[in-house]
Amino acid sequence: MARTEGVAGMYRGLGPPVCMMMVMNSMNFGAFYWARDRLAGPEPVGWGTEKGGIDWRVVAAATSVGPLCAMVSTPFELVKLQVQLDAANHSRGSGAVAGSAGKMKMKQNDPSAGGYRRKYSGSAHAARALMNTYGPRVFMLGHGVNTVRECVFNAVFFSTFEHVVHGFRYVHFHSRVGN
Amino acid sequence: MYRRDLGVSQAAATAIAGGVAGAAGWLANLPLDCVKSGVQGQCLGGGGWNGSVGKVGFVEAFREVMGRGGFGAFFAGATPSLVRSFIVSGSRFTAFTGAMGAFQALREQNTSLAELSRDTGANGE
Repeated sequence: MARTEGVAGMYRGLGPPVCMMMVMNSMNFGAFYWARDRLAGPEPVGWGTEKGGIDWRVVAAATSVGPLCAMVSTPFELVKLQVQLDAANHSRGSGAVAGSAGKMKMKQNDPSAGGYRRKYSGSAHAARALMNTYGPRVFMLGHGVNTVRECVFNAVFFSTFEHVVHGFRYVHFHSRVGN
Repeated sequence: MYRRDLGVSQAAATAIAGGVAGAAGWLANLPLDCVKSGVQGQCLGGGGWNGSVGKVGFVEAFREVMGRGGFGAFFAGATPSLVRSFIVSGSRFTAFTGAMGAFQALREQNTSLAELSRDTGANGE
């Protein structure tokens, strides 16, 4: 890709993830700490704290962020993947394989041109083209698996952070004096 | 119960913990991400406003990845993803806690100023 598309080609499809990250980070962190405060309170938990162990209320708060994130990330992820696959198919030439659904070979847009002709000029164009061709339902393609994915990711991501962040600063130990 | 400070700064601890959290999250996430990419990255065809746009569902995408190399195929290319997520998540948590700290300090400053001006006004009357 670097040879045929240049460095710019490697950044094709960057627009949607950057927009998505801005929206999702504010939503992720805001929703998680809101849920955490209500379920488990603001007290530190896990490694390096007096409590130690896993606080499942924090895990539940982290998991609850998943469905919210999936609502936003599914359309952006779809557009990103379609744009990146379009670029990859273009750089590979004709007969390129579409994603992991590789059994369905991409048909050449124009066989006489001797290669795959790119369908999308960018992310916004891809979103418009997908909307016009398939309707709004296309943006929810893979929403189920993406929701599960977001739940798993957020559960592990936020729970791990909350349970280890104090351990890198403090060590708690019991006094054996008088035993 | 005693607490001993390890001498690691708050920012460094946040960055390391954020990095570990990001890498752990992605490690758990990779199989599902693979399947999701299979579903969303399929060659779209047919469809229409009321038609079904996707031919490849969760099960087909899962089987497709399994057929490429078993369970290990779900973790193909894991190392760059994990390194990236360590860096990205570490910086993300550091930026978040830094920004929250700055906003908190600003709010406390504004509260102090408001109290000061109120006290000054009350004394002046």
